[in-house]
Amino acid sequence: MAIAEIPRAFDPGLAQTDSGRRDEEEIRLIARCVAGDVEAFRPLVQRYQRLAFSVAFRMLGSSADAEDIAQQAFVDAFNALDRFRGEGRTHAFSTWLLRIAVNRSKDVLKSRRRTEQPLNREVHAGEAAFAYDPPTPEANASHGERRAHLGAALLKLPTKYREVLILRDAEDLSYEEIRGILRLPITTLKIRVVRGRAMLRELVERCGVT
Amino acid sequence: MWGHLVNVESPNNRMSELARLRDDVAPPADLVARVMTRVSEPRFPSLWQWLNRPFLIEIRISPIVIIGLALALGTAFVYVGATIR
Repeated sequence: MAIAEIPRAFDPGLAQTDSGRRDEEEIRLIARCVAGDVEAFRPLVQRYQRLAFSVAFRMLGSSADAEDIAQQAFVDAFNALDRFRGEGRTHAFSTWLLRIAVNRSKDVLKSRRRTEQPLNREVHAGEAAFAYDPPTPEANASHGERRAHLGAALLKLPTKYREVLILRDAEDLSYEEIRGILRLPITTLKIRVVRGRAMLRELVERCGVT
Repeated sequence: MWGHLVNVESPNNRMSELARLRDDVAPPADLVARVMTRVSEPRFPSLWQWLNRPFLIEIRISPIVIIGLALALGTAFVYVGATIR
């Protein structure tokens, strides 16, 4: 029953075939959900749970918030499945789900800003979440530290740059998919990616990480 | 003006470290179970959904009543028409 997350293939032809097959399967699953078969939603959650959680986590820097957002995004998507229109687009469901997750994450960020929560708390939460067990302690300690700094620096970026960098560089989505998620022209996205990378590099260098 | 964007995806420009961050994040083990529990719960419709909900009205009526109603309606039209003039 469990469907493993499908890795992105490097062969474009193969990727297109896989992607087409996956989209068709998702359309069938969605049709079953709409017809009242709740269990048909499980493979979709299994397939996209990492993506939804990861995007929310990188947006918010808190795994508790990311968990809530990912969960709510799936529930919202399920409740609105009858209004879902794939219209033959590739990655239609994942794009739609990520749009919900990104918008909900932005809502949380807005409410945080309203309550004027200090930024340091977010950064620490982000750093804590990067903790992992390195196989060779000395070599990987600095590597883990770099990742922690990078994650923390990402959280310091303005939301509009952070979201495109997460989707483009961290999650390796195409500009076409990102356009579907953020509903912005590709030129705007590319400009934000360039500026975001420059800002992130500057932030990382300022932290003393090379 | 945006000529530099042509090379936006060159390997030197992409932040490869960001892609590695992806491997550090794992969703909680019970996320699927929690989502499935929530979507399986009976849902109460919102006011808007309730107002938009179609419903079936069944009218059981005999032919004699239909004829009577048609006659009554016809008479009413004739009466109204004559009154207006």
